[in-house]
Amino acid sequence: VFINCSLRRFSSEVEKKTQRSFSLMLDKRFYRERKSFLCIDGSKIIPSEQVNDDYCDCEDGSDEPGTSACPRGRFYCTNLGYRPHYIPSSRVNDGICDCCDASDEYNSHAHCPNTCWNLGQRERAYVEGQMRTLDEGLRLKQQLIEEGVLLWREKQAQLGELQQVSEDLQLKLEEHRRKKHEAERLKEQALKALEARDGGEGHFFFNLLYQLKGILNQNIFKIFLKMRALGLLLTLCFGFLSDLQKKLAIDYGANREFLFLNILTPFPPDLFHSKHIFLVWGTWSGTPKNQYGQMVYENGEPCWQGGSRSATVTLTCGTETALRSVKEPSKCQYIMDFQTPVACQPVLKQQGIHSEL
Amino acid sequence: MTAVLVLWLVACLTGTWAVDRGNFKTCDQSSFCKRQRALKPGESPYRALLETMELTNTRLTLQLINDNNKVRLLLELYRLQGNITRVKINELKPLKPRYEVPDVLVREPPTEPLSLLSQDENGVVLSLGAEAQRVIVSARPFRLDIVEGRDVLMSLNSRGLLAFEHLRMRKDTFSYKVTSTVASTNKDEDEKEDGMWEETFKSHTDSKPNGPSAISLDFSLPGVEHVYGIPEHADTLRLKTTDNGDPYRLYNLDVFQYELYNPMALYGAVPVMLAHSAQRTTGIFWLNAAETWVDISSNTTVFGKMLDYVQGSSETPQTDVRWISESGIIDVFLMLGPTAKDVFAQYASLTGTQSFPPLTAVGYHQCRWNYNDQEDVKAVDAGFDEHDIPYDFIWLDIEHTDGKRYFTWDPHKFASPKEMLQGIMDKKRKMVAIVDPHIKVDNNYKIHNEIRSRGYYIKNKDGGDYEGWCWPGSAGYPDFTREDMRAWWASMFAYDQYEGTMENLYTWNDMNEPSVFNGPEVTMHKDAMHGAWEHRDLHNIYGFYVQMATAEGLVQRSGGVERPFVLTRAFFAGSQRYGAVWTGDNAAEWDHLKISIPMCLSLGLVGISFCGADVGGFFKSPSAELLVRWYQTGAYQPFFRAHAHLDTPRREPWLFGPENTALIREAVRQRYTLLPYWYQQFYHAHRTGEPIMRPLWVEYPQDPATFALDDEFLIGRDLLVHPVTEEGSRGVTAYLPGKDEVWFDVHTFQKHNGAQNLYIPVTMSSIPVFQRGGSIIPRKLRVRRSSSCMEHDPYTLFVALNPQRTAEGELYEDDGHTFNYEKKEFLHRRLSFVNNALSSVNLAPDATFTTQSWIERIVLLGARKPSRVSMKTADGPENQLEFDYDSSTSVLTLRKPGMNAGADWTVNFE
Repeated sequence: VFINCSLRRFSSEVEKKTQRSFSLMLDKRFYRERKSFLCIDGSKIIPSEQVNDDYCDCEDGSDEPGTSACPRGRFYCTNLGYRPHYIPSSRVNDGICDCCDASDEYNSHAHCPNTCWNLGQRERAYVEGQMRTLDEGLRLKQQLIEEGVLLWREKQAQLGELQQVSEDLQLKLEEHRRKKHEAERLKEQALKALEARDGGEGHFFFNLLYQLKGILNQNIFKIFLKMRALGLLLTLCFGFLSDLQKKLAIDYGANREFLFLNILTPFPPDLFHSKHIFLVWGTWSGTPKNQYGQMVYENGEPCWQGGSRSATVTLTCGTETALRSVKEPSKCQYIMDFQTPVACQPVLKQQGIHSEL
Repeated sequence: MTAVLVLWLVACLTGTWAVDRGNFKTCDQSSFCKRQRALKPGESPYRALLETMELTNTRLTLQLINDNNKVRLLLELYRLQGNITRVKINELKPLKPRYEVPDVLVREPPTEPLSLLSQDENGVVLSLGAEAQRVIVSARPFRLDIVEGRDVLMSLNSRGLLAFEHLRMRKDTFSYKVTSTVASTNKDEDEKEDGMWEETFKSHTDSKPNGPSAISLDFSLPGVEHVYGIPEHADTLRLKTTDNGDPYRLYNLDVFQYELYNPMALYGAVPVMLAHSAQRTTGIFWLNAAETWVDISSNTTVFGKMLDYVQGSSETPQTDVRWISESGIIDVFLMLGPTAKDVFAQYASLTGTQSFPPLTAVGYHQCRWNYNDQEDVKAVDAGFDEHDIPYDFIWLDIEHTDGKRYFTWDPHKFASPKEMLQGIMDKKRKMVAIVDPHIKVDNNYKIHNEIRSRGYYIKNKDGGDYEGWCWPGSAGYPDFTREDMRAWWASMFAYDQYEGTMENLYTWNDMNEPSVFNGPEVTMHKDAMHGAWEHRDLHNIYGFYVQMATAEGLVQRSGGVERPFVLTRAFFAGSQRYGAVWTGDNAAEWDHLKISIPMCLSLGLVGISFCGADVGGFFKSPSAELLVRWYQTGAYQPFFRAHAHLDTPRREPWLFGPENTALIREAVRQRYTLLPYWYQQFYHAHRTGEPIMRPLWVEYPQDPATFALDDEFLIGRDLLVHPVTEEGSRGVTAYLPGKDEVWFDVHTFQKHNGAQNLYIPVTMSSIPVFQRGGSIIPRKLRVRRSSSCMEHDPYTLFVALNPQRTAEGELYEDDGHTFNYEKKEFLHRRLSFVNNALSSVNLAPDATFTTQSWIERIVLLGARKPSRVSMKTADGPENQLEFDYDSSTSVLTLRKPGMNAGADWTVNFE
């Protein structure tokens, strides 16, 4: 943090102690050309010739920003033309090219070419591509959000309809219950009458009543059948309703942009060997910054030799909605890369612009 | 029916995590062991025929006769250079030759003169050269006693358990009647005993065409209460008595999920036992490669009765040992010490020393069954860099091959192995790929076709190629006992034969017991044939040959320039010459972490120093705590490799949260700072045969408190390690040996006196390690991505002063990977602190090596504050050195003395 962007390497070999040309574009507070140096953590004052002399004096490594002497030290790669960054001091002069400007291997057998320009170019091309993808992705995402709004409305309407239907069904059921009650009451009355006139009113009347009883019974049975049909419909309706309610209660993102995945497409696509594992919507498990960047699926189908399958799906910005890769780093633990425009975020554009070189 | 099903299910479920003992024989189920063990101590039927004695300058021969069956044996006795006595017993006229183990001894051991001291009708007394050592051959019954002064060091057949099942014709064959007059006139019932001519275990029948052929001999060790060695067993360092159970078994087996603390056989066998008392250390090397069982019992014997010239008749503790082997001959080397280090030297003179590995192999190894593809390898490699954890080797298990055809690569997952290897090489790292000895039977597989057409496969009893089941399905097993086969195998490692390989690819030999999934006890049928010999005769040496041929292949592919690195699971006496071993398929359990210490200590005692256990445990999944503790322990064991079963979740060091990542990083970094010391220990082991990881009693042989310690150990002489191996531990009690010693905590530099039990409070970051006062240890504190990256780095010398204010140490360096050290291209310095001066002198003036490394720091532990410190090199002026003194810890740090590590120099403290 403190030594930011500052220390450039010295041309000479540290060990030989020939003229040490500190081409230091230093933060003057710390590496001023004066007689002593205060370790940045304030723990120690050392003579300035002990700065970058390949011996670690400061606990925090601040006296050796250009050598490998300090275990906690960091070395700054300027990487002109590419992205500057820090590497651990242990990678200075270890024979492996780390900085693209080759500055970390100033005293080793490694022949490190300066690759910053190429890397930068490649990076720029990549970023441009990414930006194009992002633009297109954001456009598609907006479409999907708009479609999502319609879809949401449609689903809400469906919900309303279903609720209406279920109310109607309930009413009808109630009505039939009343009818059945009525019919049963009638039948009761008829039967009572039949019993009261048991005295011998004549065969004809008895027959009539008997027939009436049959008709009443039939009527009750018909009502019962209707009620049963209505009951079934209502159960189905409640099923749809609760399904839909559950689906609509799911977190589909700030703009319900993920809605289409759950309702329109089988998600994730049905290409895994387990049919039980992915019938449910997983749990968002992204970072606080990118809450919808990752989804986990747990308690999948049992795995051979114990445990259950699980999957971690990373959602990344792309112009198509497609599964890009599936890996199984450990048995029955899957890692998937899922691309979709809805994972595109405007904030990425900011980052992209920032990283432009 | 349901009950049966439930029982079956329970058996399946509970059986998952423990060895299925029923798959492996007990002594009772192994007919020769049962027969032999049925013999009880008593008067031996064997008598020495003194009139047959012939004594040349170097050899005594003598016939023995079994008075029961009149079969004669021939005893040969040699005095070998370096205080070793060799005793060979074979049939005088065996029906056919009996197997004598070749290729284990590095040469025909040079002899020393034997001379006759006295002879009468009771026996013979021979002088064994110096130190008033004699061997007394008693005639009736036959026994041997080795005596030094008035002490009996060892007695053979003192309990009368010498047994030699002579080869015979089967009775029901025609020829039996012809030979029966020669053969036994004794009771015929032993012929009827079960298992002599055929033996069945589970569904496997052993045809035993040669009939019974077992041998047995007892050894008494007066004064001895502690015996060690005979690996491989998952047991304590100190061997237990076996009176109430099975003997220790030596029979190389692929044991699925082995149990701890029992004498069952495991993957390797080294038939070497060490006996130790405060007075002396001796060893017994039983050179026999057949299935072997070892009984140990502890007695107190009134010894004086047996030999009237032995001092007194007081009760002496005594350990009795009995070796039983299924076939072959008795060929035993009595290594007479007198110190442990003498025994190591004696054993090394017979079987060689630990191979000197490339430095990189001493670093950290990252393994898993399996890294799935090249992308996976790349990601794991990058993970180490991202988390700043050093490592040297990444490993590929069986899945990297094309359908378990070794020497090939999976064409999809590892389509461009050279590209992958180059990527690893760019980071100065290496790779190991597995090559197992079972070869897929497949007519489209070059290796199989070649082996078959050359007739190199082991044959079954009917003469066809032996086939068994292993990873590839049906597989053949090359006959590695054949020299021509081994030469061919070695040639397969050439870069143009083994396609896709480069010089940073090394080899791992697994399943070389050999493992045969459908064989008896998961190994090869004993009646399989290696030329004229049965597999029975040489089973335990098969794995040794596999590693030998593989290591030779790696040497050859580099034109003899580069040192090989080969890891093996099966091993035998002498395997130390070919690489490293590991303790096989352990489990992620605390007890398995604990047992890694005695298992590697036992191997070190018998010459195999390059030992380690799978860090984290192979089966099951370790808790973060167990994994961290295992890294901390493994970092201080010679072979440091993490490994995991295919079915376990990933466990690369950064997958357990940042705190645990930091703890693992720190443990691995400690390993890397100590690489100069480790490498020096390997050099020393290579030169002397002394173990690297060693029990405390080796250095403190007179302190009985150390004799059974196996929860702590020494690395070389100077570092004492007591790893934390208990779950939830808040402290450990370490025994610091030596009443004249002081020990410095390497982390806090606190000084502790020796000969005490020290309680050390621990946290998750603690690895209790102590440096002995009086020692100097070089470290490289600039820990980098891999050991090769640290090649030219400067040293920090840690000088720990003893109460006499002296210290001594060494510094060894060479190119780290070639055999050029044999051509004297190395530097070897003696560092010593005496009379307030620290100096470096050349230990090998005839050797040359130029190093870029220099001394960046000298840390004196237990120092006084000097007024002035100056340095003088051979060709430079005297320089004053800056220093820093911490009075609270008595640590003096010299700032940047800067001399070259190969130079002569002196630092004076005033």
